Amino acid sequence: MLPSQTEVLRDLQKIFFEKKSATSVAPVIPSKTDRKVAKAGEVHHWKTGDFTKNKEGQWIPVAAGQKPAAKDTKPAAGPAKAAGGEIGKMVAKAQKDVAAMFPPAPKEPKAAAGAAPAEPPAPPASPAAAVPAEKPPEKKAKEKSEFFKPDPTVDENGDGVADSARVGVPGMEAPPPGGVPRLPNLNERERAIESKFADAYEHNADSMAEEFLKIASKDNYVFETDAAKTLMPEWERPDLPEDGKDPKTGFTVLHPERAEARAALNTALHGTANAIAKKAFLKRLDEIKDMPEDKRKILVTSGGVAGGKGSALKAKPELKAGVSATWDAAGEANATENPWVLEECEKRGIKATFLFVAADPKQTWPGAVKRAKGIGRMVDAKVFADSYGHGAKNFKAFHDKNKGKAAFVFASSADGKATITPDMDPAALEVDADELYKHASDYMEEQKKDLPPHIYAGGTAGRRIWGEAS
Amino acid sequence: MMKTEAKAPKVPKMDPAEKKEIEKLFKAGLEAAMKDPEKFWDMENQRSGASRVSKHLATLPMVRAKEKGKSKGKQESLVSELNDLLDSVKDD
Repeated sequence: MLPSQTEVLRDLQKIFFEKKSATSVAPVIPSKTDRKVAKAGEVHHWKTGDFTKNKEGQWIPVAAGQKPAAKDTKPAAGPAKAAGGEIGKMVAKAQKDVAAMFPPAPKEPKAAAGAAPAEPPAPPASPAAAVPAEKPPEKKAKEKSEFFKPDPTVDENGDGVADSARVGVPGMEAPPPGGVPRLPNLNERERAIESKFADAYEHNADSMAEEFLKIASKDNYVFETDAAKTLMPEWERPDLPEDGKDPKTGFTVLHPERAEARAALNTALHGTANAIAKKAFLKRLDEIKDMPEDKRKILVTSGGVAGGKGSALKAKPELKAGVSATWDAAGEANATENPWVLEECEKRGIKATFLFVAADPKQTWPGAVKRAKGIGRMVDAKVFADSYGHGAKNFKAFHDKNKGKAAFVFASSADGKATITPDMDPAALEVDADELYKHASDYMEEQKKDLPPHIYAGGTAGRRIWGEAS
Repeated sequence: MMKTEAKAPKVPKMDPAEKKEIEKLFKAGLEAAMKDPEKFWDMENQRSGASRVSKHLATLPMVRAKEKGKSKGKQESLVSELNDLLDSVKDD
């Protein structure tokens, strides 16, 4: 006589109870959530390439041609172990028995004991790939297998301006063509977020740039990398209640989870956000190109992180209203984008005015930390230090080479007073990025006990990503 | 080939008066920003909104931070599901 359904279920329950403490389940077929439990040595096949996890828990790209590690999550060819080891075998057998007991089975048994999984494993890449794509992203296996670790002082094209900052896309690029660079040494959550955003953009670049162009149009076409992060639901958190207001100051009180996300994910989202902002900006330049001469003008701001350039634009909306677009560069870009902006403007007959704000970074770093308490977004100490240590030098070199091709305005807030200067504040050129990183990093330690953990984590993520201050 | 490369219009010249105006406004903006930085930082919060989320990302499952103290494994979840299932058929 056949056992009842209840008895079969009880048997299954018994199998689980008996075995759960003896053997841990190591799924052979990874699902989307398997990234969270991935073991060292496993290879995951992401949209952006193959990655394996080292003993420290960091995702390392598998170089092209390298053999997958022993724990490759791809199904092995030919006879293979059943998914889930011993428990998997028992479950598979039980499934088979149940299927036999209750014919006709509505579903085919997925795997009999000892058989290889019928389906290839679901890639743990972001589900963004499931979204209808405009066209397949251009992928170069070799490039994709390497993380983006530029030296922010290297100037290979010899224009006097470093080619790349540590975060964002290379100064002269607006991918696609090419993909969004992926940062090294991100933790699992950061990597998942970075991949989700970048994969979605690489598959829908034109459409997402259009979305951001529409957003920028509502603010006099100000293009700001940080604003492009609002395209990401993990940044916006539309599932959470709206933010509150401080009755005394009238300022926004961010929902704690929204604040946490913005501090923790800022660095991981920066590259894709920068690519989107640049692509959308190009679209706007194409529109400006066909405008009358008096409208073919833009503003470009540069300066260190939290140096006041963005706030100055907000304080005087006439600035952005007087031009057809504003490239409000992130300080993190170290002024590496200016040659690209000028080149794109020259192609289209657009006049550009480049503004630079010099500030005292030892004053602005506490400001950046305080700002994070209000807006959530927290900049890492390493990229903050680069923005001052390299940004001013890059801007100076750019100015010296191109002063006949565009207008330049130098401002300074370094002495606690806003001034317009005829040239770059010499003090800005004296900032040493390594020394400043040490200072900013030490400040985080001094303030740690008084800081929300997510702000401390966001401000010190660079230690894991690029190394400790020395 | 890009359209813009085929016929690049001439870049207009900067009018010195226009540059002076930009300098004046930017200085004033910087002064205001230095005087009351929180006011202008808070403006960044005003740009939030569900409508800004990309349509290509809005329907995808969210990547969430791990909740502290919640380490329920897959196996425990399966056992729990089995228990629920068992309870549901007991009455049949």
